[in-house]
Amino acid sequence: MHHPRSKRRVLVVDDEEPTRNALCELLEDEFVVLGRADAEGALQTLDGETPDVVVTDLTMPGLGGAELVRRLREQHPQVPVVVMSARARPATIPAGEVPFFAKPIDVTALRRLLRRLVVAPEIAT
Amino acid sequence: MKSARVLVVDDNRDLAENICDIVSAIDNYEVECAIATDGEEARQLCAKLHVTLDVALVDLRLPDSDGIALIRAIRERCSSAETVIITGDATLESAVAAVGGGAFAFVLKPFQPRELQQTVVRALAKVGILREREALRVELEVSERRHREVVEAVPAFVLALDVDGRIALWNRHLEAVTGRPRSEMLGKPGRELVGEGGDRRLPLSRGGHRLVRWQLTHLSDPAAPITYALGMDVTEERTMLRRTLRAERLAAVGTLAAGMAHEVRNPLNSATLQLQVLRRRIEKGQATPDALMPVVSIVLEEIRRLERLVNDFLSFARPTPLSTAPTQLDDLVRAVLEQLGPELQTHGLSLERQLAALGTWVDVDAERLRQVLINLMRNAAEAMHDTGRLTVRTRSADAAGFACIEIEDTGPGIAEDAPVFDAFFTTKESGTGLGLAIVHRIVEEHGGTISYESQPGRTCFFVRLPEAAPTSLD
Repeated sequence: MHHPRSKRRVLVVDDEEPTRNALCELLEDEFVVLGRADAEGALQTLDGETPDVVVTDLTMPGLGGAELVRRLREQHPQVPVVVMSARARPATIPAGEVPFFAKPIDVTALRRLLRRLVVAPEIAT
Repeated sequence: MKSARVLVVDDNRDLAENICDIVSAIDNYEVECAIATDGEEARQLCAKLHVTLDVALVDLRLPDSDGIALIRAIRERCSSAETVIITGDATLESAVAAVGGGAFAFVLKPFQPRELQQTVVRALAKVGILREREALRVELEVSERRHREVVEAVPAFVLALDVDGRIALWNRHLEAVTGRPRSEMLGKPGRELVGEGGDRRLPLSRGGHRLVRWQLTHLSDPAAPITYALGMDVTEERTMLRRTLRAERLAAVGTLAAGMAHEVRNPLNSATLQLQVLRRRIEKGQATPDALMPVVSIVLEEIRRLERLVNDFLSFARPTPLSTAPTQLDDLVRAVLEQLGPELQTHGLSLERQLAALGTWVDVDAERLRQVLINLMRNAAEAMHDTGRLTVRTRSADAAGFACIEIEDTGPGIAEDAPVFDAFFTTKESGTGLGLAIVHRIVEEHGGTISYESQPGRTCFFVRLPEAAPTSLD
């Protein structure tokens, strides 16, 4: 059902290293996963190579997740973003536009959503 | 010149006019004289003159009426007038009786003009004094009525207690609010209602009560010592306060629950992900100790973090009651330093102590205060990343009676306006954000205060504790 030849690229942004590494490992069967520890690192990566989807935590040192989401939607509107947080969805993350995952993350549901997000644009073209 | 109104009653008009002439010649008086020649005319004139009449000169032998009855009629109609009887020998006895019955004096005929004048002057003087007294009485009455009206009309409770504590005044507001009329309350014991002032329940006749804040004033007039109580209804104020407190408490619980949820979800998320990684590695046949052990360690650490969180949360949210005992402040601090010192000094940290509160006793729960000092010292050490100087000082009580423990570090300082004492506020990777919240709570439970000063390179926390009263030292 997938095309292993053309694996989609997912950028995972989380400041907690074990969590970030675990997410990367749990997604790597289906996606090429890049891990970054903060918003600044993520933005740098985006300037080079554009991933197909970004998954980010909200509470991080530096710019933080909410600001990363804002800049992504401004500078790379074609890249879908998924937000995950231990807190409730903040008002700055509009419901219906940015999917939101409450921690603890349901990895199966996240995988299913990522699949849909990266396949859908292809169908559209 | 003083003015005077005189009525002369005599059936002999010539004589009456003669008397008028004599009276009008009184020194220092401007006398207005009216004449009546019979009882009926006298009554009519009296009715007309009313209270303006000063003196009536009455000949008792009148054709149409008994003189005594006439005197009574004059007194009734002209309440402020005095009566002087003019009489002959034949009616002397009646004249004496008339004086006994309220006439001012009598003058025997024949009389010397001067004798009559002197009697009238004396009568006028008495009338003057009585009029003055009456004016004062009326004035006093008006003033008292005004004061009473204020007491009655004011929308506050006004109550007075006599020397036996019985109710001597019960104003309209009290009647209206309690539903108990003054007739029922006057003379009843009232000490219970107002106590020694302050907030008391005021029972209502229909059941229930209002909360009234009383202020007492004791008037120690030796003749009639009395206590005035002025009360304001504070029921609504109190209800509002309670409602506000409840709302604040609920908001606080909400904030606490949200903070707790966040703190639980992070380790839970981490542990769940690690377990899934573990399963994946086992499924893939990568179940070597090297592949599994680090993951297991992370899961264990996350579970420990959860456990720590639960313990901290309980000691924050459900503190056990303090069990205090008088303790020497320096001894307490020294014990903590001995316990914690080796741990802190293994890193590149220097520990300095300046204990200067010799002989200062505090009433504290030593176990909980130890927790305060350990939390503050560990925080300081962590803030300095275990490199720098930690100074612990004690000071004996200041003028306000508060002894002080200071814990100072040379770390980077605390960001301005950081809510360091709020639950779940933390800048540390593995912190629960409850350490300083617990410290704050324990210090306040001891009747103390905690504050800090911070700038890059120097942060100092001040724990102030009330010095123990000397009586608790035995």
